[in-house]
Amino acid sequence: MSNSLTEVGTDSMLVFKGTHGTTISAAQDITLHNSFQKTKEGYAGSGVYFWRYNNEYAKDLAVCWYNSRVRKGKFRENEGAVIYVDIRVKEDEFLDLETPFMKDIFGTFAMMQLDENDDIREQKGAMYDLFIEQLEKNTGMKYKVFQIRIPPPKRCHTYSKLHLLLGDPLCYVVRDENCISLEKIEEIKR
Amino acid sequence: MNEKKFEEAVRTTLKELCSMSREEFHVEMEKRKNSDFAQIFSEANDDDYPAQLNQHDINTYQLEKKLEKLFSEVVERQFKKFLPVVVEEVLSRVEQQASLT
Repeated sequence: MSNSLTEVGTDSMLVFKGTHGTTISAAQDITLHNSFQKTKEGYAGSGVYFWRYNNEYAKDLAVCWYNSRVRKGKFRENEGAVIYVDIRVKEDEFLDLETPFMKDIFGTFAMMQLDENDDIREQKGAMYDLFIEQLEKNTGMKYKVFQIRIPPPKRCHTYSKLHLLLGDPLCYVVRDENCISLEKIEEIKR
Repeated sequence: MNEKKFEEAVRTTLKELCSMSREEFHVEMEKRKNSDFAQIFSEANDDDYPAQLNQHDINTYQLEKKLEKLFSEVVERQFKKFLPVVVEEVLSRVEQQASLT
């Protein structure tokens, strides 16, 4: 797999690379059916999550994510895999929630609607959901992929060292699985 | 959609959302509290995230590394201490064997 930077194609297509940590059986299932299991329908936040991959730590993030899910009992098996994908999306159908402009907008939204009794950590995901749904109504667009920073999984030593320098790592949320093409699967070695 | 129109739509969205009453806002939040997006954030955000958690991670990692280094040093020191003794012992046995033959 090449480690190339994000490319912009000639037909206004964006190409991103991502990693995803899951169980071996889920990875095999994805290979077999060439299909990712999407989360709940009808929410802006529903989709498949990938760590942005054009760096040395995206694999670690996927492994740590898998490990944290195992610790929480979310996976029943303890053999994991990292899935590497290419994500292709038209420029118009990609939403970057990490631009300074979008951050200012969200900052204003939070200042206006949240008070001292609200826990912003609990509300954050739902706020993004609500915002995207409303934005889609106003633009008439369907955003198939969006980019957002997600806190790194716990006990991720490699990223912990970088966290104070880089902040939360970037993640792609893919809402239309036609945007995903599988590159390779790598078993997580114990 | 060009950038200007997009920014206008974003600002319109902000105005609409900010004009919601607290009650309406909380109803909308409640509807979405179990969405996957919300869960991803809450899973990643549990306990004492972020600063303390990551500082703890860094400390643990550094302690592990220090322990590993210390262990290697002890092994190396012991090895250096006993190696000449072992070599001497082996050599003397070899010499003994040689003199017997």
